[in-house]
Amino acid sequence: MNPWLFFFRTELGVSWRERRRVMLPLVFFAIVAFLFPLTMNPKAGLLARMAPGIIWVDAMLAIFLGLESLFRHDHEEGILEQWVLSPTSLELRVLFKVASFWTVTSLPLLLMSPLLVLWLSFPVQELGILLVGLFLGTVTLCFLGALGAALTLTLRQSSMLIAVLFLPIATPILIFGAHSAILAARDLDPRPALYLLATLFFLTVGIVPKAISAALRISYET
Amino acid sequence: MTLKTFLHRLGSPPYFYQISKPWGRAFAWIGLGLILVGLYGGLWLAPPDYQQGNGFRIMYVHVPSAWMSLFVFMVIAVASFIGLVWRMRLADAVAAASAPLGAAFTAVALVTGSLWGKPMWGTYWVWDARLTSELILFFLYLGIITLNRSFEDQKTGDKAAAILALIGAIDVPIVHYSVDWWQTLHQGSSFKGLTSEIAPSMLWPLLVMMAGFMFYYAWLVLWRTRSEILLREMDREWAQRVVEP
Amino acid sequence: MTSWHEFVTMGRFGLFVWPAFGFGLIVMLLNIYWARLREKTARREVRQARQAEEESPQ
Repeated sequence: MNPWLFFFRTELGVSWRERRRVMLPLVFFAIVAFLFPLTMNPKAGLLARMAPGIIWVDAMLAIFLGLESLFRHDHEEGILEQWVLSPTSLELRVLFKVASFWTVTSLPLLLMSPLLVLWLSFPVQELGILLVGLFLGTVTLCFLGALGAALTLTLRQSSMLIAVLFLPIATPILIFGAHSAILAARDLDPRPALYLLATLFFLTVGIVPKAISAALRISYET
Repeated sequence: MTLKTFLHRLGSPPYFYQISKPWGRAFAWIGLGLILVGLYGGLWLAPPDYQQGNGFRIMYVHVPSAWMSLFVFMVIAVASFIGLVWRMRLADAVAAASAPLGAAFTAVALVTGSLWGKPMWGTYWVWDARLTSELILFFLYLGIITLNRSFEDQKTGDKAAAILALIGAIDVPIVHYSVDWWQTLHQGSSFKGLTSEIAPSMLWPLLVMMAGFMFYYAWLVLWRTRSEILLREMDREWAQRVVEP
Repeated sequence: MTSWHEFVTMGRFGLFVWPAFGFGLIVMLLNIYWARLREKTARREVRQARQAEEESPQ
């Protein structure tokens, strides 16, 4: 088997062994979405208009929840140090690591979003657009969040700091992502927003693994 | 002394520490003079705007602060790049010294923009493209400052903050564009600061104020950089000699 | 400006113009204060580093 595929599968296996970590963001995602209709006027029209924003902010928070522990285990076990010292590309390892993080945290969110669409009375026929946007957006958010996690790797109680680093950088993704769904719900062409989102997707996947690797390296230098 | 040897010597912390003091003092006086002239021109000499009356005068503090908030971020990004690539300690110190100043300029731009908004829009906060991206810039500054000071080892903090600053430098234009795009989509009350060509009698105090703010920043950044260098070189003999009277 | 009265009231915008300039001034003064504070911290830490060095056994 291709060694990188093997690496990816091992990473998935590691995450799967800690199933609780996978389930919790999912439950969190559902609970947050469920709180909105309760805390405001649940008229269908208003809810439908707020639905893209709620789903996107909710997805971002659910991803954020898992960030602190993203590299923690590998750091404490000394696995990261081996990665940094090993001659194989750290960037590629990071890429696969984040990809597996996405598969266990965000893919379930995507699979569950049809439920949220029903709860928040978002037009069901636009579900496809919402999912395409969420796919592009959550991958990008995972990479940006992983950068925050890598920068604060050696710090204790880093989750507040990760929030301060991650959330401002993530705003463009949220703007384009939520608006692709808003445009679709208004029967307008959502493609401009999706193209912009895709541009950010490729830009992030191209640049950010390098930054994450650099951030991981500084923890083992000096 | 050629320019190259001058720059090379400037990179050495003890030399920088020595010569930055008289330069800083000169910048402080020039900055103060320019700001006083700019205030006199902006608050007294310039005629009221035909649309905004005297309310437009907030521009003379808002625009220079907003411009400085972006300029300082650029300085941090360039210094971070130099610090990461060439491992120049002076560059790390400049970046660390600039971040709090940039955050302060951003705060002034936000508050004055909001105070300008009240008479113009009738409310203190509108999700106007410029105010929104300024707010995100403020959070970015806070992130850089906190990250830089979170580590026990200052070198780690400098490098982590430098990586964040470089990603932030790519992000700032994207944020600005995305917020602009979002604005046009909702056709909100987009606020054009001054609609027509600005008259020379209104323009010159603005330019003088901007120059004054630049000198003020140059003074403070030299001052703060001296402290940051001391903190980074505290085991060195020269640093200990400097501290003793 | 034609009169002191107009200068102080800024037409009807005095309530916005003066707080804006006041806030700017306060922050600019605070910047100076913070720079001073940072210098004091730096000097103190250098002195402490020196003392630690002198006290450590040769």
